[in-house]
Amino acid sequence: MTGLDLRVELSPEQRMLQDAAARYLEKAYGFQERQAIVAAGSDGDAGKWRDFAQMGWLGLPLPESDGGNGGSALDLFLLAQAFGKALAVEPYLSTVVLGAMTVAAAGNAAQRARILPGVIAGRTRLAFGCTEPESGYALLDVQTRARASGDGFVLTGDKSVVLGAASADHLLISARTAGARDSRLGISLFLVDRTAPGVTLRPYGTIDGRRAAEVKLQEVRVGRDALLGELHGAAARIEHAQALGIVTLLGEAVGCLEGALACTVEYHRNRHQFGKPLSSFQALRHRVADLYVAKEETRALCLLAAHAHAAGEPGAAQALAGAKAWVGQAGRHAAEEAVQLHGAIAITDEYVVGHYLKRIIAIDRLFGDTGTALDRYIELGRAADA
Amino acid sequence: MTAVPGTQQPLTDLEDFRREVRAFLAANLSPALAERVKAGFYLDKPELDRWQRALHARGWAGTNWPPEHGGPGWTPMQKYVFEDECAQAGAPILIMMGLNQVAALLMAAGTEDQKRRHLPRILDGSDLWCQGLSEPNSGSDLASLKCPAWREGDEYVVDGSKIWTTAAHWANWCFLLVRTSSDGPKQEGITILLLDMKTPGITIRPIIGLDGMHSLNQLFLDKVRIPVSCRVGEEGRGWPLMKYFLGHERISAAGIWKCKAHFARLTKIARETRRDGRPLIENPRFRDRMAWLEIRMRALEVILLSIIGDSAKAKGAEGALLKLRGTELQQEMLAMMSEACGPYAVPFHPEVLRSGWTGEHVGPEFAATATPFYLFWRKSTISGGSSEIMRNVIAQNLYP
Ligand SMILES: Cc1cc2nc3c(=O)[nH]c(=O)nc-3n(C[C@H](O)[C@H](O)[C@H](O)COP(=O)(O)OP(=O)(O)OC[C@H]3O[C@@H](n4cnc5c(N)ncnc54)[C@H](O)[C@@H]3O)c2cc1C
Repeated sequence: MTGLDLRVELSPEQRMLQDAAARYLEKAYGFQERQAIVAAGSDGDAGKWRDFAQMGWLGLPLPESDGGNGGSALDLFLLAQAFGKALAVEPYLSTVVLGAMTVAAAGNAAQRARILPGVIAGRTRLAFGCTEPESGYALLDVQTRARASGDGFVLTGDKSVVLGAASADHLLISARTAGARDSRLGISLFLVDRTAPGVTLRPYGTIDGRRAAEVKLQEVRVGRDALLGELHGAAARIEHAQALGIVTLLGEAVGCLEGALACTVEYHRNRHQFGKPLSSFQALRHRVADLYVAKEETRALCLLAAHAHAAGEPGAAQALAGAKAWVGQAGRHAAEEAVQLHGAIAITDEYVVGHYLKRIIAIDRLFGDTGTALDRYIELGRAADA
Repeated sequence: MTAVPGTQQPLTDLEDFRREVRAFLAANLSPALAERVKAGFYLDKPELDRWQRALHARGWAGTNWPPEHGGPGWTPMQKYVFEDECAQAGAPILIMMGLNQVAALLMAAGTEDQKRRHLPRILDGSDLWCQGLSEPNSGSDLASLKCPAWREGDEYVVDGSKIWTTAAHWANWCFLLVRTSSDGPKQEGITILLLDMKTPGITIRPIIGLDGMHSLNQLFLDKVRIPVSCRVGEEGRGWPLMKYFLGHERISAAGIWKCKAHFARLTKIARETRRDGRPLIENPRFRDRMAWLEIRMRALEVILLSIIGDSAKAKGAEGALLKLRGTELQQEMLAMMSEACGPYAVPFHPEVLRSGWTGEHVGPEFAATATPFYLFWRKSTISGGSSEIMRNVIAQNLYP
């Protein structure tokens, strides 16, 4: 990771964003309330989503020219960190980060005007359908096909684990318009109405209390104006969306570990066994100390990666891969430790700490797990040396 | 001729026995049921009962039981072979609290009347037992338990709460620890009672696990009356008896055979799953981790075989070591199965885990259960004596 600026400093505005997010979520997003939102099964809470719009969060990273706040990837990271600690389940990642940011980057003026004001105001939701049943973590392995027909295209294929699909108004769908199954060239992105004829969803909950769906496209007709960005040229857009998605997930992971550490410290202070608080057992104090160390290391690596990405540094992609790999390994271990250190209560749905573990596991399984991210880290390091 | 460790029994006999067990499993275990067990699906009570009846019909229900109570009277090695074969074959895992702990305790300390009343019904599966030991404020420090009970005539009146009671919603009997006196050290004043779950005053609150399933409960006992004839041992003298039978679960909780079965399944999954253009098992990083698990598993099996039948060691440092490491290895195997799901680890539909569900699952078949299974089994290093407590046991053995 040569050439990265390792001094990450937050601006006063960024500190204000952190404070505002922490204050709001602490007040409005307690764990019991979160559990009620999950139980309702409607992909986040409509009232909270309105609040997010009002706080300016739904337009936070979007360009000012589209009505957004023009925030950086680092701003996004900081907001996600607060979401992670609160275990917020609203479909922010799918609608704002993967969906709206891709529309903003790839869309023409008409598409941006059609979609983005609604997103910013909290009326429109998006989902990003770029994984397929056989693609694993390789987003450029695309078997869904779009063939030109009349004045538009016809799409057929399957998309898997599409976050927020059932509550989305529009789906961003990657499809092959040319080239072999895994070629970079020949992938195009389309905006498809979720209710268009030929689109069928199989919705389900996720381990981390959100909603996702398998999406089937059967001869779905879309107009020419559904093409998002260049024909055949969506690979770089998809990769960029993935990178920003990873920045968001890293922020959430840091928030999860902060939450897991805080609840463990608190629990050990109050729980007594053998006539003493658990916090007085040295064997346990050391484990909690290790949890703190892991949380700080995670924060350092993730913040660095978000900062490098925001600054457009050449080493950013490798920094993101390294942080993602770390979160899947050291982050998972830390969350498992937090569970272990609580005892039986952590195995239940009723208590918060197990949900941090669930979110960390989901984060690892999105956009490349530890192994895939580590491969990428090594590959990018080699490329940089060459 | 080679002999079974610690015995004069020739190994060939053991191989004959292994064949006998295999033949039984082949004849009685349907492949569909075995597949569901291996995948970590929950079985419902009738399915578990059916399996216990099949074992009972063969005389194999109480693997630890001596012949005079209807057990097969197996040697420790035979028990080991039996468990090993059952796990490899995917036989249903029964709720063993009655068959193991309660039965052992009754045989050792129950009245003739209690033995006659309970043992046959435990063996044939008529009664399912749960264990009311832990309380909201007493977990690892079980002896600090508070659930108050006092005597009124021929009855004890119990007024308190128990938590983490596995299968209480299925059980018709509960093995209960209560406090009948608070004078003196905490180990004194604990009494063992047998509670008929039909007794008035019991409320069961379900507790949903991280896997979305219901196996845990909290019990509220509101002035529940239990006849004095349902006390095991003397009043206030329950703790020494408990200590005697608590250590027994360690070796089975270590579940080397479970490790082996999980490993076989992990291998199968890693062969069948493609990631980054090749089977997962050819990914050097994944393959190395699997190799380490296999190597570590072997060490445990050697240690287990070296202490098998030595109950002092089973309750000492060696048993603690086996519980500590065996559960860790299982957890890592389950974590790797979840990893093998890729993005399909994220969908979560607990309804799939229930018996009788016939819908179509999402993603590869193993993904339906892998992650919930991984999440719930984080419990194996907590229940049955946590890893930390196992380390305490080992340390106490090193610094007696
Ligand atoms: C799935 C599941 C099923 C269960 N089924 C039953 C059942 O059927 N019946 C029943 O009675 N109970 C049951 N239990 C409860 C189980 O026995 C307890 O979880 C166990 O005794 C630990 O207690 P605890 O959970 O209260 O954790 P605590 O004792 O509060 O411990 C919390 C943490 O501190 C550690 N710790 C505690 N003391 C020490 C120490 N002295 N030194 C170092 N570390 C320490 C523990 O290891 C743990 O990491 C079940 C538990 C689970 C998870």
